Amino acid sequence: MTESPQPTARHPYPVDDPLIELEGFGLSLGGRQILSNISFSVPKGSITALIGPSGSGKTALLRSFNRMNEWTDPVRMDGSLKFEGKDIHSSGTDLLGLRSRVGMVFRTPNAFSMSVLENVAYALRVQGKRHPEDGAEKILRRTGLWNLLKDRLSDRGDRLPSGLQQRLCVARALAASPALLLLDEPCSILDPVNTAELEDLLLSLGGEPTVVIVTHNPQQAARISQYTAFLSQGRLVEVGPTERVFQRPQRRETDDYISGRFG
Amino acid sequence: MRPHPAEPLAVCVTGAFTLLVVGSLSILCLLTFLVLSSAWPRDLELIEIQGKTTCIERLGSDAHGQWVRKSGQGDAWLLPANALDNARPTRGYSAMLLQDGRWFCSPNLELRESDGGYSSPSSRELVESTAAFHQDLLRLHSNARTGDTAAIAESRRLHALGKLLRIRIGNDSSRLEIPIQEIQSLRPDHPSFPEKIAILVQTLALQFRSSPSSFASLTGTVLATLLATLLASPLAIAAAIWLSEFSRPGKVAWLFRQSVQLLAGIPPVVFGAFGLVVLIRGAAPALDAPLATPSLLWASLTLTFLALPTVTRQAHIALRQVPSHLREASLCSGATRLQTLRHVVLPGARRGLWAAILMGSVQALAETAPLLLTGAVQLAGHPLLDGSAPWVHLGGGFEHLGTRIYHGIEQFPPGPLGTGAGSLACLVLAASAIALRTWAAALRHPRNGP
Amino acid sequence: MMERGKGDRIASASFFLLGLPATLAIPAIVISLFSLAHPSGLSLALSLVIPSLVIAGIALAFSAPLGIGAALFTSEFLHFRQRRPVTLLLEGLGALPPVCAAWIATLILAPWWDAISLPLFVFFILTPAVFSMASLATPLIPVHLVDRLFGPKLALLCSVLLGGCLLACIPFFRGASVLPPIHSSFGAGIAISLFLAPKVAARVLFHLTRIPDHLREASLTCGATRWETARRVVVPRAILPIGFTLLELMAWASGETMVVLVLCGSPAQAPWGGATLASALVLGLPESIPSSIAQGGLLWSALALLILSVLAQIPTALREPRP
Repeated sequence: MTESPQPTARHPYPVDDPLIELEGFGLSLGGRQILSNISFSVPKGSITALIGPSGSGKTALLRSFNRMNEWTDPVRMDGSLKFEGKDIHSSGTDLLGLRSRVGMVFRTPNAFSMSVLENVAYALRVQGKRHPEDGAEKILRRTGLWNLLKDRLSDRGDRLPSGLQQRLCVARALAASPALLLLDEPCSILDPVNTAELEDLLLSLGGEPTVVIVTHNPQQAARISQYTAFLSQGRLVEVGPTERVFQRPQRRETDDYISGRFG
Repeated sequence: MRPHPAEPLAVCVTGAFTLLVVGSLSILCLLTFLVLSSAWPRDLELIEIQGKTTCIERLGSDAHGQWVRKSGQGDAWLLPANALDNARPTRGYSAMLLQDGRWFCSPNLELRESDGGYSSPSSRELVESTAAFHQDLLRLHSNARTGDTAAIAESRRLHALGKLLRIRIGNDSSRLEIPIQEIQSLRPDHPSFPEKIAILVQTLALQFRSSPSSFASLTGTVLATLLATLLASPLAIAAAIWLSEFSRPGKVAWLFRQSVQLLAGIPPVVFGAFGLVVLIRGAAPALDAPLATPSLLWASLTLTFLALPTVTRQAHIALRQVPSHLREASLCSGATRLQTLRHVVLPGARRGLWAAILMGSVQALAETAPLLLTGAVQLAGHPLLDGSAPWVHLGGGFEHLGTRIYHGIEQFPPGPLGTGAGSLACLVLAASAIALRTWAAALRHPRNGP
Repeated sequence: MMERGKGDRIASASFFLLGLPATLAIPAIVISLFSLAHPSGLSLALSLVIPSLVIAGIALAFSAPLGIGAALFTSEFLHFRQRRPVTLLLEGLGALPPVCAAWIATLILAPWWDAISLPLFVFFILTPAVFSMASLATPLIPVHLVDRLFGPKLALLCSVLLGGCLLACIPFFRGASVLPPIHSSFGAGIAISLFLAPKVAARVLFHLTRIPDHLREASLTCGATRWETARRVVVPRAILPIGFTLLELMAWASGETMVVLVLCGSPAQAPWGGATLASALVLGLPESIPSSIAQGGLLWSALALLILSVLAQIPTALREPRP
């Protein structure tokens, strides 16, 4: 292993093999500045949590990683956001290719109204992979859902209970073996039991793929992530290994938020 | 890099959208263009008739002959195809009709030189105007024949001024000379663009005012729509409020809602039949005797029934869109249901309620079929509004833009002319219905909303 | 139980008294028609049901692809900022009064009927026919070869359309009467679709916009294109309500009067057109003597229209949650 680069102001923790690199990244949606001057890296194989109060821009940041922001609002961007070494906001980006490499799970469980198996096979099917059903079965086994769902494979996915449905959505996002999995507050409508099950699922992935999760629950970030970025009002306040951020926060704001004193 | 698959679905859908939007809009534009072009003043053309140079404008030709116009007032002349030809005698002269100062043309009416009679008149006022026109023709004709020196002198003077149009009539070689006096006064040789615009406006106003039923039909349309809307809206909104605020969820409310839904999808002509048979022939005789005939009153009532389910349904949708937690919050702060309704529900649903009312009025405005059954006639013969009490006369037949357009299609075969006024009526009706409906849609879909 | 004020009770009672009779009085049509109807009109009404449905079917055959396509384009492809104005436009265009459509058909469509009938033929009859034949013949053709030569189905579609347009340019074909004249059921169907197509589009758009956006986002994040999203996620979810809407609109269009009256409704236009339920009603009812046999017989036509539209709405009503 080569010598790690020294922590700098821009890269507050050493990253050997970054999957995502942000350099002075700023974002405005519909003419409103949402994010400004954000610089950090997401190491490959890690689970990174984005935390912060609501309205801090964490979801917008997450959606920048697969360019889903521009689906709803006119977007203007500054700085650079590199995924696998390529700036994904350059005009030549292959959007479909990018989204095939980046899976996403949303706040509410949103299985399609097709069978469970078809739901999981969906990504493989639209990406033109061969034998989507086999791939679906493989991913169901990997995520531990096979035993739960093997008798209900032809049931409609959108009729599953929400906890199971959300795990199905994770499986669907993982099916095409993406390099990055984005989760946008995946547990916000789940009860603690379902939340724990989903967290176990994420931890069982073992760094393949890299995970970025937005959560408004700092404890969840502490439980599952290796790195944590704290955002507030569109700025990156602090970023670093989760343990350090939680035990020795360098900024007052972070400390306040984590310990629950933040408005 | 995975290629973007170009899907047949994409092509079809884009094509369908383009065809629909572009097609509809271009048809509307074409209609507008036809209205404007029929009224647009043209440069005059000098033609030679029997050795004399005469000023007319050619409007085009169709199977019935050559259309010319002698002024911007919409006076339309149909010359037989060979009227301008010296060599051949003219036969079967299809004539012009005079209606309230406006010249119309009809190939059904035939003027014969021997008795000056006509055949196949299609309605009373056409007969009258034909007679008037015919007298006009005969007067000129006889003046020229009897050698009335004054008339001859006058015609020579007009000839010299280039203001006399000579056409052949009938089979014989006798000629009819008609002064074209308006040319000089209304239009100098080549009007400038602003003058043309002014003439265009004048012409449109004349087209609408001069033909017998335009103003009356506009009044009838507005009155019928307004009455129906005024009658239907309070009732329908009350029903919607009852449905969404006061009814207990249960079989009665469900049945009520479903029946409203069903009624909103019934073809309008059924309501027309209902209006005629149940209201006019069933209910009216039980009331005052002179009211028991098709009239504006019953037509408006029929339109009310037509609009009622639509308004109820849309108003109910609007009220249901007010989130129920707002109602609960209001009730929890000690307000009665009525107070909740007044202060929370109605303000929240205001836009939707207006949209519902507008949609009801559009339906009352756009549907013509029920009116054909319940009192809209071609010529009412009496004004709806006048100075004598009670100022608004709801009894008796009335004129409506929709039926006017319908009778227009029936009577005048489409040609380059004679359709100007009908197109104008059509444009007015279509534009107002579309505008009102778009307005309703704008209220239903707020800018920052779903 | 919540305390209800006195005003509440009065309001409730008055709304009930005002509203309920107001709307429930209308089903009295059914009862009155039943009581007045005379059995002899039944056979006439039954014989007119088919022509009415044929015209509605022709109208729907044109407006359903147009309307559904336009709605899909608006909700799935159009930029979100353009969606609202287009929605307003579509809803507004659907309000074109039928009598205006009749006027437009006689004034604008009729002179150009020969010119437009061939493209219409190509678009709506030839293209689907060629497509279905091509898809039938696919196993016989070496597909990859065709794909390499012409590209995918897109090329086929384009070539058919282009060929049709080229054909339409040749004077010989332009005069060819491949389609019935405008004064026919076919022409009436086209004229009806002038306002039926935007109506279909607006109603389908309503069903499409009710599908939550996060489903589309989920599909996009799986790497699907917008079209794959539309085809695999959106359309399957909306297909049932769209089908029911089409059914309702077909019943509604079968009662369309003014266009039919002008273009094909009178018995004089017999070879290509003929009477329908609505035209028989409008032409016959005013002349019939009150409470005569003729009137009762004609009312069967109104009843038939009523029953048609109620039948067509039953599927939608059944989808609503019942108490």
